[in-house]
Amino acid sequence: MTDKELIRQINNKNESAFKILVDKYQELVLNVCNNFLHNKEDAYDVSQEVFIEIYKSSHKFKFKSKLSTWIYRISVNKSLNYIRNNKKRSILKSIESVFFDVDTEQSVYSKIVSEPSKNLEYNESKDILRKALNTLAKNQKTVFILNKYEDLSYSEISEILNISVSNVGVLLIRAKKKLQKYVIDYYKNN
Amino acid sequence: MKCETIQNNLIFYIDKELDNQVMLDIETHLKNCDECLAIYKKLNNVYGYKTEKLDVQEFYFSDLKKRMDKEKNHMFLESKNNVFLVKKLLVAAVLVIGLFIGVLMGNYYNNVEISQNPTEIENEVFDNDSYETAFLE
Repeated sequence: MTDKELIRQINNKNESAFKILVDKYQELVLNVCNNFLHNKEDAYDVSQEVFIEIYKSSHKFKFKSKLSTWIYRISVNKSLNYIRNNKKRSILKSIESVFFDVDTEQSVYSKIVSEPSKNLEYNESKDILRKALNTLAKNQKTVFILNKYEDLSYSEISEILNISVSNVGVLLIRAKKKLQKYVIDYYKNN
Repeated sequence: MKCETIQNNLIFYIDKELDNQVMLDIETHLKNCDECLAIYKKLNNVYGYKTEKLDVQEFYFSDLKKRMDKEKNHMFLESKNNVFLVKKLLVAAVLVIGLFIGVLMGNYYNNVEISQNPTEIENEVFDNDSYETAFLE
């Protein structure tokens, strides 16, 4: 079934068509949300909100862009909204996860036992990157995540965020410079 | 190249986004500068970190369906509550209008009674008038 046909069927509230769409884009949506939220449970939760939004507003999609672009856009917006609405909660969670990896307690424990220094370094890198990402402006962070973790091209990002390709480039350079500065300063001061 | 220039470009060096000559210059510098090499390694570790890729979840769609049904029920209940609220408001409005009409009608009938059955004072005035008229005559 083509994307066009899928959307047409979903407009008619066809549940099996919706299931096909969910199966097709589940991994993409989950990972985009996880790249923004750094938390599996939150990513799962927000990804479901994304699909509910798709189901509710499928009639608004007029195929002016690719379906995946539209889905990326909803995923990014939902994730950013979630961060904004749950800022306090996320801070507490990230502090908690720095000291104790809630999601993969067992696996992390076994890794630390087998390779202690490597995993401490791994957790430290994860923590510094998360903090560095939090210092970025919202649009810089979004462009950076879509390019670095989703491997999207400048033109794909420009389509998702409705900004020019050159703007994507500028935001990405700024994001990288800011990240670099944060990391270098961190190591120089510690 | 100075250490500062090198350190300002390390992230682009990692991404191989620099001119060939600059890439070579940085590479040579890193071989000879322990400080820049240490920073490069740290930055590479942090920058190279990728979040764990999440796989397809087995009960994803059934969870989603449950959530959608719950949301639909919630919306239904909300609309039911809204209907109930509208009904309450309608009853209140009817009562207020009824009260208003009642007061108006009460006033109206009072006035009608006054004009049809003159009170004692009015009778007195009427008597005085006829007396005055008789005196003048």
